Amino acid sequence: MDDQVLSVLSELEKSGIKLNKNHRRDLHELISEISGRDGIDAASVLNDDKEIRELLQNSALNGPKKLERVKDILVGRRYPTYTRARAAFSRKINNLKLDSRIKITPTPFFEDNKITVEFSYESPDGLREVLKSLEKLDKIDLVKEALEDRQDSY
Amino acid sequence: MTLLKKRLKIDKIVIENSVANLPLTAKILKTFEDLPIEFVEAITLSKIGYRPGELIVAQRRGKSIKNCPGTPVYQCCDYYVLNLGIGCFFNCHYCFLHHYMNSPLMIFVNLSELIADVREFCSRRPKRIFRVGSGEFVDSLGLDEIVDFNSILVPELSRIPNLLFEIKTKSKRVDHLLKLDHRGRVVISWSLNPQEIIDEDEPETDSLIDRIKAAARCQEAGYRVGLHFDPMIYYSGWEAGYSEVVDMVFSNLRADRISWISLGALRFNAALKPIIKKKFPGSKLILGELIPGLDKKLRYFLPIRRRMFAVAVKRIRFHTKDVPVYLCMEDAALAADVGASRLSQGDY
Ligand code: SF4
Repeated sequence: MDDQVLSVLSELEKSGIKLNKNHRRDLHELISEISGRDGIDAASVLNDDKEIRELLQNSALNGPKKLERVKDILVGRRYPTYTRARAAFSRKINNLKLDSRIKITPTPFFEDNKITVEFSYESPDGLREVLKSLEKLDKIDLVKEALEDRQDSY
Repeated sequence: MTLLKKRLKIDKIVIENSVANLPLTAKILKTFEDLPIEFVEAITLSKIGYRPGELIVAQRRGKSIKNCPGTPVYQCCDYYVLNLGIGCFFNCHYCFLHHYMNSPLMIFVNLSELIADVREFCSRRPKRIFRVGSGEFVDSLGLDEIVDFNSILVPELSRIPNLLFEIKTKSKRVDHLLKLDHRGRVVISWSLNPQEIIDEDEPETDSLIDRIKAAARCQEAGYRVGLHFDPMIYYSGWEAGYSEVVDMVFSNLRADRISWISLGALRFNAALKPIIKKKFPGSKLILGELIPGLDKKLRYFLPIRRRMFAVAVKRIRFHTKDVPVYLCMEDAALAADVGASRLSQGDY
C-alpha cells in the first residue's frame, strides 16, 4: 500500500473508525483509484469532500456508521454512473409502492433487462393482494428507465 | 538483425526435436544464428520453467483450430481461431497475455499439419463459409517478423473454397503480403484506436495513421480489409477521438473493400487488474467504471458501452450504409439497440 493512502487510512482511524484487513483493502482501492483517475492526491480525496469531512466530525455517529457512509460516498464517486442508476432504480421501485411482501432484484450491475421478483404470502387473500400489487410492474420497464435516467451524462 | 532481436527481446532459441528439420525451423536458425540454441525432446510448458526471452519453436499437437471463446451470455460472431503460437512483443497494456507474464514466446512451425487440419475442418461442412483468424494468442503480422508465416499461409489457405482467412494486426508491415496470391479469400484486419490511446496503452505498436495506410495498401493489392475498434476505451475526449478515427478510415480506405467493422469495449479478467496496475502503474485503463459482467470479466457499465457503441455506429453509418458493423461479446439486444447487426454468412 502506498504511503499517501496509508496516512489517509490512519486519519480515518483517528476519527473513531476501526478498520479490519478487508476494509483497509477496499478503501485503499477506492481512494487510490479515485486519486489516480481525478489526478488529485490521496488526502484530497477525503479532505476536499465536504460530506466526508462533516460526517467524520459528527460525534452523533458511531464508528461503523461512519465507515459505512464514507464507503458509500467513495463508491458513489468511483462508480458514479452505476450509483446513479442504482439510485434511480430504487426510486422507481419506491414510487410504485409495492406490497411489502414483494422483493425486486435486477441482474447484477443491470447487465441485462431481467428482474427477479420474489414474494411470500400466508393465505389466499394475501396472495391476491400480492398479485394485484404486482400488476403495477407491467406499466414500467424498470431497468430500461433506470438506465436511461441522466443518459446525457455518460 | 540485432535490431530485430532487441525489439523482440529474444536471447535464446529452444527447439523441439520433432520440428528440428522443418523448413521454418531452418529459417529461424538462420535469422537468429548468433543466439544460443537448445534442442529438447518435448516441450511441456507446464513442467519446465522457460522464461521470457526464450523463443520456443515447437510442434502444435492436438486441435489447431477452435471456436472463438464466446460465452453463452454474450454473443459470439461465429469465429474460429487458428493457433500459430502464443506470445506477443507489442505488449499492449490490456492484453490477456500478461496473465502469462513469465512465459516465453512460443511458435508452432509444423505449418503443413496446421494447414491440413484447417482443410479437413472446412471440408466437413463444404456448404458453410468458415471465418478463421490467426490473431488470438499472437499478433498475426507480429509473428511474421520472426518467420514469415503468412507467405505460406495466405496462398495455401486461400485455396480452401469455403474459408475466409483473417489476419489480425496492429502492425504496418505489410510489404510481404502485397504480392501474395490471396484469391480474394483473405481479409487483413486492423485493430484501431485513437492515437492518444495508442500512445497510452499500445505504445509499442504502429501508429494509427500507419495502420490505416497499410490497410489502404492492402486494399490496392486487392485484399479486403476488416476493422476492429476493439478494445474501445472510455477516456475524456473519447467521443471526438473515435469519431476522428472513423473519419480517417473513410477518407483513406474504400468502403466497398471493407468486409466488416467490429466494435468491442474494454474487458478483461479481474485477475488482470493487479497485473496491469503493477506492470503499467501510469495506465488509466483500470480506472474506468468497470463492473463485473455476466461472464465475470470486468467491463464498462452497460450505459457507457451503449453510448460508446451508438456514437461509433452513427459515425460509421454517416459514411457508409453497407459495411456490416457488429459488436464483439455483447448480447443481441444491445446490438439491436445501437444499430449494429449480427455478422452472418451472407455478409462475407
Ligand atoms: S497486439 Fe494483440 S496479442 Fe499483441 S500484445 Fe497487443 S493485444 Fe496482445
